[in-house]
Amino acid sequence: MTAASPISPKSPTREAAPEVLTFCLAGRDFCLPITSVREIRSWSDPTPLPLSDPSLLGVINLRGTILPIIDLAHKLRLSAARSRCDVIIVVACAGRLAGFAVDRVADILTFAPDALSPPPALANTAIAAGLSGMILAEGRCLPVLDATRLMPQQNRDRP
Amino acid sequence: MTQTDDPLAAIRTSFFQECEELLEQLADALADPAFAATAPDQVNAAFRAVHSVKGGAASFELDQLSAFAHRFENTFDDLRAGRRRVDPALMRRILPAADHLSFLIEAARAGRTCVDRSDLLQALDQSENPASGDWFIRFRPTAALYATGNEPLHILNALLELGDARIDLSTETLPHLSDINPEEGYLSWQLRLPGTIAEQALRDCFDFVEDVCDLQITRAVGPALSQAKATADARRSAPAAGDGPTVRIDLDRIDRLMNLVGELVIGQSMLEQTIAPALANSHSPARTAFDTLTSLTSDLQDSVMAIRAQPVKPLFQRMSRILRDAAAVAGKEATIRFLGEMTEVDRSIIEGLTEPLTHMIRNAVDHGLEKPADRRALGKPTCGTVTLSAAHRVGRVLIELFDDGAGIDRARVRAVAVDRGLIDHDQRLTDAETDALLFHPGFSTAQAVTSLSGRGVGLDVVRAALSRLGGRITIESQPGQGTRFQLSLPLTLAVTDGMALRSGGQILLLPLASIRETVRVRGADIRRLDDGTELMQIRGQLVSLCDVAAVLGLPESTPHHDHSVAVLVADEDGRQAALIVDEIIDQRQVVIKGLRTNCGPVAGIAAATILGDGRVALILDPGDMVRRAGSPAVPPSETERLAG
Amino acid sequence: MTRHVLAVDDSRTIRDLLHLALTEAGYRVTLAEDGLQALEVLQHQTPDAIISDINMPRLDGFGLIEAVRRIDGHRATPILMLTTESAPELKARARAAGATGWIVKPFEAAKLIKALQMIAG
Repeated sequence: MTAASPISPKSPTREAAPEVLTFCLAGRDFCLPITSVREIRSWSDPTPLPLSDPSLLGVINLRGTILPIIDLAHKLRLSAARSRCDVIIVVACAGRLAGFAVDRVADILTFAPDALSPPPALANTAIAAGLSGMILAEGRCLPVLDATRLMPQQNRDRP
Repeated sequence: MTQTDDPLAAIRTSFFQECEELLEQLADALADPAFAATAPDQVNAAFRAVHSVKGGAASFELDQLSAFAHRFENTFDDLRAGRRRVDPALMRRILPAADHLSFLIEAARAGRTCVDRSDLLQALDQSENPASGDWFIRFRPTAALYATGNEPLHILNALLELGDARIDLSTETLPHLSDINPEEGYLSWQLRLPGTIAEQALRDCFDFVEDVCDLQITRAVGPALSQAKATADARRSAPAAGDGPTVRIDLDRIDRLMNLVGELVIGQSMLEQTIAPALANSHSPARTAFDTLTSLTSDLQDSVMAIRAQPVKPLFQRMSRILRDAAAVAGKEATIRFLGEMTEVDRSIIEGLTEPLTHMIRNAVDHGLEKPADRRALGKPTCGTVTLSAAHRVGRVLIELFDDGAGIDRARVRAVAVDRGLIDHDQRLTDAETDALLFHPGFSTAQAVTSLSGRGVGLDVVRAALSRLGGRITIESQPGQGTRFQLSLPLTLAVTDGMALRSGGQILLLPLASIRETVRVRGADIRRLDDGTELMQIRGQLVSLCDVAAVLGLPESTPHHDHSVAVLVADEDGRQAALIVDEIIDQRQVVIKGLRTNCGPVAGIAAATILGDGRVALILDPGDMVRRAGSPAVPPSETERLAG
Repeated sequence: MTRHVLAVDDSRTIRDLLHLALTEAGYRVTLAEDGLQALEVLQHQTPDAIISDINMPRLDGFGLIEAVRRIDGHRATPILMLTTESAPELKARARAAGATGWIVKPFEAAKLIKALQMIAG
């Protein structure tokens, strides 16, 4: 990748351009807008919550806040087996916090606004439901996830 | 009896209405923290309120009221003119006087006279001249004081409760370490206390030790403590509470601070576990440093709690209005008396208490107090008294409400309970069990009970509201003499007492307030119904079983109950279930962490907390667990008895 | 820490009253019926304070105090005497025996607790 490419490593001269955090999940690349990422943490075993959505692995203590951990691979129906996760991406939106369990975090990238296209129709409806768009550049196709749609449901009916 | 066509009577009526507004303005002004700093707006507001009462009272020749208001007004006038300042001692005198003013107004409205309380005014006048001499105490314990098990610290603490004291320790007579006889007393103290404290109150503190110490109590000459203290405070950066200037702080900021302190406590216990080997030696530097840290953290926690704490007085005052209204509607005479109204409680608790207390006050007037004519016939004063008291009791606050009314009509309560099918007609109940029936939800819906000259309407609602606050309520009644409710509440909602349990390989917490009993499970005690429901016999009563691990779908649930433990819990309505867990670990205080914001509702779980090792543990929701166990209702008499 | 009080009285009613007043105030209470029984309790437990009647069978209150003051580990334990009258000579005798304080029967719960706080914090 060169500095001139639409997707480039973070450069301090282009602070205003959109930035995303790319990460790896079940062998595939995804990204989240950097504005929704609060921090990245190493793995710690969550306390399971009873009778919850299977993609909700449980909760951990984030400096005193109870943080739900979401198995992103399961949520996006990427693999049947629960993947071994190493990293938690802490996301914040609409005043709520959640942790996404991912395989590893790759990079922070800046892209030109015109590289973003609306989400395509996908066979995997689970991915489609969590997608806010695609970054298309240099022959790569990077799905951009929408953290809000992947968070635990606020008013879920009690099972 | 009032003649509505008499214009003077109409004005008189409106005067008393105005008095209520004026009392409210006075209460607001006094409750404003700015008043404690002698802020002109608040002082003026208080002055105007009392002044208006005085003016009106004089017009209607309500001499007792106008005379009291006149002298009371002088105090505020002095404050206005800058002749004196508000200090905690004065504040303690103003508030009872303001209360008495409201009693006088009530009495005047009813055409009665009130007991003479010019002592309240004298107290105000006394503190008007603080330079008349602070108390100066020299206190030197002898060896006999220590030998008889007395402890100077407790005496000093008792003195501190009387007022702001300056205490100096004198170690002049302390010999070299090698010469110390541990049974001998070498220390002496010099104390200075405000001159407004009664001498007897000071002497009472030394009641047990007069003969085993050198004691001198004298009036000091020179600048009063309040002034000496002001200069001392100017040198120090932190002003004392209630004396220096005040700051208004956004509640969110205090909550954030409170959360951080909670984190600090958790962080500290994580550190303790990590460096446990270094702490094992009680003389190691690590141990000493860690103990210092522990005590600092605990002080910090107390200080933050104290910021959130508020006196119950405004809450009590609100009850005073409710009592007035309820009495007017019911055609009864009632006054309210406060005890310990300066007791401080976390504001969240105060907010949660308004509703249940309102309910209880109305109940006391409607169903507790007799009509004036009936009271007279019984030889009681026509005006009933409802007393509200508050006090701190070992980490909890105790609120009592008692009336001098008729007490509970147990025969009627029993009849209604039988009628409603709450008990069998031949079921034997103790008095306490009968009284406890009033908390049964079945009572609140009973129309017939509203005419009952006992109590009962909506007490289940009161108990449910208290239970949400982590509180408990008990009732006590003497026929013909009155009824007493005792409410025990936690000091704050952010911390709760819980029982730590192990179930399905997880540590779970159960709020202590919901637990009635714990019993070891024996397979023989368990009955299985056709539909798969399991019941367990506890003290002759069948209770639904609820295997916590199975109900919550925890990974390591054990199918056999033998050797496990049953924790009998009751929900707000007194319905019970026996929760089966693997083990009871201990009882502890836990910091409550909300779960719902980030995780949404979670089945069977009320909240979460953080354990000493930094891991999250879930706090069970007893009500939800009972619903899941599908427990039938049981008479509350049983739960009350067990709770007591 | 819950404070622990050993209450000694030969009257069941007084014991019950003490138990009620103390537990309501949040103390943990152990009861004994006379001085000897109290001493047995003290072999295994170290209460923060002792409240004792004076007139009791087997070993009376004065005897109990004198004994307690001779046991290592209990020498400084605060002891509150329950007296039926506030006679100065009774107080003096209690003091001479080593009592920390006293309270006159019949007692009010609030006064009892206040006296207890004065001697045991």
